[in-house]
Amino acid sequence: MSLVRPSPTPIRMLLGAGLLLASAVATAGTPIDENRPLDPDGRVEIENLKGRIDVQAWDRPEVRIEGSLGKGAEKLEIHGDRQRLSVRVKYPNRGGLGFLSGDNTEPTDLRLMVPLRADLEIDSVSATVDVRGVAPRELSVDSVSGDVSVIGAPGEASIDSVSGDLRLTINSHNVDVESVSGDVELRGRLDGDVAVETVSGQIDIAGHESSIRNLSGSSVSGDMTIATALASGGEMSLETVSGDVELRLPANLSANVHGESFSGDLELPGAKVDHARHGPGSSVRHRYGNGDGEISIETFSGDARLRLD
Amino acid sequence: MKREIPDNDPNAIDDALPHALRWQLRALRRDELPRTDPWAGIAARLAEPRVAPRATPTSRPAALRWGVPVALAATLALALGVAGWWQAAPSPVAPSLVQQEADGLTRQYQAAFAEVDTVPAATALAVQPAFDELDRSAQLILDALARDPDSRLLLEQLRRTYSHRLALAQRVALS
Repeated sequence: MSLVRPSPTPIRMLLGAGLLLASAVATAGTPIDENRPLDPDGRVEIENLKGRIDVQAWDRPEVRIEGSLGKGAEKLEIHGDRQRLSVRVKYPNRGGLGFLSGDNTEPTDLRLMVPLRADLEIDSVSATVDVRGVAPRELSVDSVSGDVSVIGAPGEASIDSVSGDLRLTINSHNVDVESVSGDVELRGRLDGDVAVETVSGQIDIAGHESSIRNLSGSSVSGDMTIATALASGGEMSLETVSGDVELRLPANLSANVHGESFSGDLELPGAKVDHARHGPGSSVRHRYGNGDGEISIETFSGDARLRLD
Repeated sequence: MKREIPDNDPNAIDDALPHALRWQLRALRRDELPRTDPWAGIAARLAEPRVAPRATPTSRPAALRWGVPVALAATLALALGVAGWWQAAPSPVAPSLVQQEADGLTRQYQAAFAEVDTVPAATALAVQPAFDELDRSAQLILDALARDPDSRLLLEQLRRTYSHRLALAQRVALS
């Protein structure tokens, strides 16, 4: 038996067209098209709580702001001068996290072009943040549930999220990342200080053609996977409660490595793990190469493993 | 021969008396009924409703006058003794320094949470999953601390987790 789809009647076609038109009207926002001058080393502050924030760099001393203001949003506030510019979506009588509680405002999409080296401070609640090609002295992104993606070369980067995932490809001397349940994926040339902290989010760090001077990783239940090189005399401290740690370092590692766990398994190549004679607890200490650097791994119940590639 | 008479034996005294005198003395004994029936008064007092006795220390029997203070003193001495033993005896559940710090930390942060957790229910509901995650994590750490009460790692993780939660609550409250 074959099923024959009934051909649409003129009434059905009209209804469908009407619905499509109504949908288009409902989602259409007020177009945004603004330009403001900004010094090449100026600062841009962007706040959009719902929708998208896309930022890209160019080589002009000005900021271009495009996008659409969502229905229900009061206005787009732009104020400041050539040194400091603020771009903020303003909502009537409400703000902040109230937008997560089922309000009826439509999302606002912001697309900005900013001077390559202008500092950036971005604030979002559920808006997705996408930053590409920038090289500011300082980059700061703060989000609650919105995902954050950054590709850039900031001198210092501070990225903070609650449940949004963070995908960061960053060449930087100083990176500080915090999340509660959002996963953190950090890539790039990381040759300075790196601090990553989550509660339950996974941590995945991979350095590219670089050696970290100081790495601090911390989680409660999130697993950590770290593949990088350690600079001569560098330090690395990884702490987790129940998360597992996998640390991959070059075979020519020169560092003293100390591992300690209450009930997790420890595994270091060429090292003997000491187990407590009475009760739980194990520890291991081993010197690789000349022992220039210091690496500390501590868990409560998570397993920790070092691999030398 | 003079007969020895025990001092405390009335029959012996009786036996030592001349027979005639003994009978004369016995004749002097007679039963005498009380002038009033005492049972009537006793029955009447038993039938009276009980009332709290007045505090008349001077009329109390000595046993009662001294009984209460002595009992109090004994109780106090017993309590002091028990307390002294309790402190002197090594307790298997005595909290470690880290646990004491964790308890204090928990109390202080709970008080802080109570201060800022006054946001509208709808808003709080929106970030409730994050609060739940943080609370689960804090409980996971506290459970781990019960197993490893000297862990500095766990104490620091507990502090961080509470700090995250407080920061989120403050952000929600200020928004």
